[in-house]
Amino acid sequence: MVLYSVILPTYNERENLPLIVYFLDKTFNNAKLAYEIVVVDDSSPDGTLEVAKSLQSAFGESHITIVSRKGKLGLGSAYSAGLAKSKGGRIILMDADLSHHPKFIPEMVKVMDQNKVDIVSGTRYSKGGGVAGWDWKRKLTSRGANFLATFLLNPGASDLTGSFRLYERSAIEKILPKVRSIGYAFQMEILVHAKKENMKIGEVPITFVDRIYGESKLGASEIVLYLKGLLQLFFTT
Amino acid sequence: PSKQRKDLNKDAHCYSYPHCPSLILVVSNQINHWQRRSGSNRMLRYQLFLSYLIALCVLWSSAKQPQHKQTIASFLSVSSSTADVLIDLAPLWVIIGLALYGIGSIALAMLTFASCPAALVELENDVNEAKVQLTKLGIQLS
Repeated sequence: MVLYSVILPTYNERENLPLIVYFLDKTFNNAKLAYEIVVVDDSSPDGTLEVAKSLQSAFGESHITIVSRKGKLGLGSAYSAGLAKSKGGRIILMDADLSHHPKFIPEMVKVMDQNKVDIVSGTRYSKGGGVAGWDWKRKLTSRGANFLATFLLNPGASDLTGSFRLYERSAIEKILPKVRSIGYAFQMEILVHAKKENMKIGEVPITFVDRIYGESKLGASEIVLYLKGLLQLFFTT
Repeated sequence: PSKQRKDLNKDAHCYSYPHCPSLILVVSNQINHWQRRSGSNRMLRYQLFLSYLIALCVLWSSAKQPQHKQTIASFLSVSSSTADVLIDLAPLWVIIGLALYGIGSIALAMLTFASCPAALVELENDVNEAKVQLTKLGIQLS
């Protein structure tokens, strides 16, 4: 039976972490899939690590592994650290802030099994997908950014900045060491490298719910970082 | 890329545009050089865009020749002055076309970008259920 490893990078997710772990446990148990959750915490000042430890006691060490890092070291290295500690043959990368609901995971597994793809990407833009809690300006920013990335990079997926994906272990192990971008461009670069390696990408429509707890991370600096990352990918891939 | 190489090499021997072969040969040689340097058969994205740009410039340069302008004018059934405007300002038409394509694509994407308020309601219900169950497990919640 395939073991599914869910890697959850956390920074100040004290409120959301118990909820996402509960949802994951419920989803995997209902779908009768073996799972583990790898929590990668970057020394959150709000006590996320303590919450993770109490969840480990409640759900068992076989289900929850904790990687504690000293300092905010970035998403890419968090994924790498989580991957190194994980044991699963398939890896799920997702956000810990409840914007991605684990209920879509069984559908992703089905697409991976039936279509024999290397990556299944959750997409907000296909029929059946969407967002909750975004105004038209936020939607326009997202769509505009996605159009620009698709035009320049054409990586073969409809949602390039989405971060809810299921990977075959071999696929993510091949791609992750090559990724250099930070911020939203990080997710794009994964798909760009996947396309270069002739990997197959499947899609599942998902609904994205804007943060119900905590702060959303989209400001002018994020947009500038995204554009810089996009240009870098344009010239180097 | 191999198809591109073949087409470019074929065009290098095609004398429909007699003043072009040397320029097309230069372009195809440069593309081959880039591919060898990149160590793969696949061009980098900017190289691909550059190759399209160079190919378009070559075509435009050829179209601007007086004899070709006449051919284009008769093909399009327009006057020579109209053909002058169309051909001389071709880069502008391309930019306008790309801009319209971009605006149209984003507009269509916005129309099809679904809002799902029900997902938020469902999540809130799930959160309430989760809080009850987690409290039973002894997990302290904020």
